[in-house]
Amino acid sequence: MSADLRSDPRFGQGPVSLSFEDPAMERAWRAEQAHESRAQARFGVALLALLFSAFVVNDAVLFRGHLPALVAIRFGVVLPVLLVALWIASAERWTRWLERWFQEYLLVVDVVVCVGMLAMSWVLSSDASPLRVTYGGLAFLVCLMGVYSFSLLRFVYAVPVGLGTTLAALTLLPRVPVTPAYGVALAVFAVVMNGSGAWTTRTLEVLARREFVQRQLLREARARSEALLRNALPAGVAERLRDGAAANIADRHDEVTVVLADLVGFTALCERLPPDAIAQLLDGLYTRFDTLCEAHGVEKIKTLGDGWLAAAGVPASRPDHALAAARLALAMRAAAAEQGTALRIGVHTGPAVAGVIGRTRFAYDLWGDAVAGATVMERTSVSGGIRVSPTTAALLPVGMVREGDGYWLA
Amino acid sequence: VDRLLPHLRLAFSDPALERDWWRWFGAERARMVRGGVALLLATMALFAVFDVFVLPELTSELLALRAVTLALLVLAGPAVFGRRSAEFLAAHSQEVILYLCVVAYGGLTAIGWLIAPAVTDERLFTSLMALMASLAGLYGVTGLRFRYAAPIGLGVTALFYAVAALRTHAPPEFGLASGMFGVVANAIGLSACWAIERHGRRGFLRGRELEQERRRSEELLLNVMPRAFADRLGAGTEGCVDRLAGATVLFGTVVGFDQATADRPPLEIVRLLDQLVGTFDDLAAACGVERIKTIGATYMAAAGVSDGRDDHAVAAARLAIGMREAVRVLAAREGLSLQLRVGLCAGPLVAGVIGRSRYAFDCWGDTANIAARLDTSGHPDRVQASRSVAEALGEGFVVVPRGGVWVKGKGEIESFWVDPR
Repeated sequence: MSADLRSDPRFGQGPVSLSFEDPAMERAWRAEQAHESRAQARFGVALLALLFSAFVVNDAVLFRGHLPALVAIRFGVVLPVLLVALWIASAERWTRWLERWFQEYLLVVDVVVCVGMLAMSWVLSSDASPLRVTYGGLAFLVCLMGVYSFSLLRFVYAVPVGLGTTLAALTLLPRVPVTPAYGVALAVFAVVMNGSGAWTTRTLEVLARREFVQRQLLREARARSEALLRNALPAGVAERLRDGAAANIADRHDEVTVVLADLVGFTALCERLPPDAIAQLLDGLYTRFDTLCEAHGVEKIKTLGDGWLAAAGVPASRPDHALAAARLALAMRAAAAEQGTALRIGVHTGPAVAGVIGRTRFAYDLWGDAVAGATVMERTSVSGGIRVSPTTAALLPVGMVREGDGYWLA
Repeated sequence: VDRLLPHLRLAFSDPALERDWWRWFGAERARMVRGGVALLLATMALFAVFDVFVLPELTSELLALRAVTLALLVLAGPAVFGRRSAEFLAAHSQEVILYLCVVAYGGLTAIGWLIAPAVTDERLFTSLMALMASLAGLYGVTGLRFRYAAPIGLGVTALFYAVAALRTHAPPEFGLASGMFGVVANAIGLSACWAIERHGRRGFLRGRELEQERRRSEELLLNVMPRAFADRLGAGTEGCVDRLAGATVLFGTVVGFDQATADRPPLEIVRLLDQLVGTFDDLAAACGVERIKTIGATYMAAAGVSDGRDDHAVAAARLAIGMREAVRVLAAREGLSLQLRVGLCAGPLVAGVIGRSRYAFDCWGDTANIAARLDTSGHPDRVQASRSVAEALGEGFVVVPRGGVWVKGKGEIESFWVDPR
């Protein structure tokens, strides 16, 4: 599966940076990460502010002489920055900004904390006892752990911050009285810590990015399934099939108005035109009809070669089904005339059973009197005419129907 | 995802899924586990050298302890690097990692116990740093699940302080300073460990979900058009048509369906129709013919439209005979007077998907029109075919000329009755 993700060119990643090569994808990832991890960042910054303040107890007990300088660094520099960061992570107005600059925001927070920690180490190094040195060493290692494992900072930012802090801490060593063994030990632990930290950060980022890619692909696959399902079935019916209520659905509808349209002279047209020209003609016409269907709230059922079948009143019944069908028929006639073709249309109202049958090529379909009646109306209609059955005519406004050898839409 | 992996939890609600996850994890992480073990062995060996410089007075005992630890670690070698280790790791990766961690920490604690009386403050802090570095590894690198890593990490930390309190003369400040850092280090490590496992599990679920959704989308696509057609024209859902030099179209009408079922309730009629069409679908699939659609009690299918097969006429005729037999069987079983009437025509065709909604694979052209006409002008329980089909049928069929059939727009065309030999 992971090989599959890598093979999609849109999700190509830099080997070191882990960035998506596609800038739009990278932007989307940043925005999503900011959105997903904002609460966590808020919690993290709050915790950091709390810890950074709480460690003043250590200062007071262990380094009373340096307390003013340490307090100045803790509460004068680092804590204000953390409070601003907390505000940014909390206030609604920063949402957009964070979507773009989330990682840079984290970078600033981490750098400030690390620099604060280094500054305090520097202050303490002026008259360091071995205890102070070792204490500083511990603070440094915990700080590294935080940068790599807790800060949400991306791999390419976390490693420079971690290594930079390490180098800065090691340059302090000559200022303090330590045995060479301790220096070596600290250096070795720093290497181990940076190595395992970099690994952890990378693992977290790889996993998070992979999940993002999966979500993206899932969204696409869902949209595709949805479109295909909606193509085969009306919305309500699709849900019922998915819920597994029945393998096959058949509903009785008492009043359905069916519109059946046939392209006049299609057989002769097939003789005259090359087949692909016919398909093109039908495609243009049907696409137009499909749009009209949607606009009139009528359900398209299917095409039958050059015939085209739609029904009003399914899958949800509606009181004005006859009117909706009549208006659709009129619009279709006009649309066909625009394209230089003529239709023969039949309309009939009656009961019908609507449902889904078959094992392959399942689709929403309609059977019964409504369809049979419409077929008769269409067969006995004329080019450019819309013949409606007496049942349908009775449901339409008087002005809409013209009488004479049957009922016709004016 | 939320249903299978409840909020903030690190266990799937479904035990079968939990088993699958660990198998997947083991297979996915086998390489990582191997790398980790190699790294662990190398670190242990490296620190043995380190001992010589830092604690020269205890070197021999330390080396002995390290040797024992290393030996115990190497015991896991076959499970990690052996010939059948891949299978073993797929099933027991967590247990292997757990064993290695317990051995490594056991060794380290023993070393701590040994050197404790001799340690200076500086050394005590050094070993505390060692503990932290190892915690970072335990929580973030080993891949050990949270449930195992948390007790080990916390336990080792507690042991460390116990040894420090019992066996060393640590200054009181040590407890305060190191205690706070110890808590923070464990908290950070645990959060990372938790996040890694949670991300891993979510990714695993998403992967499965994605797989399912793709399968479903694939099935739905095949509902609209044939596999080969979708492959050839790209799997889009946009309108696309294909021109075919030769294909055979079948129209089969179940004659008498409306009369035979007139007195039945509509839902019963649809059930019956579903049975018929379902049987036709199975036969079509078996004959390698594409179902195009049903029009009431008429079934339309086409052979050679998606796979370009040359024997499309034979395939369609076989389907026609099979369908006729199926209708006979069903009619006898249900006590209905139903018969199948079939029209077959071979020739050039345009097939494809057009329109914007309710689009489906369809075909158009003279060939389709004539096939429909050969159906409507045929006889119940008979298969009527055009000359193009009759000529293409080989040994397996008996073909008898019927005479002429008038087709609108084409005039008189020759037709033939087809029966199996």
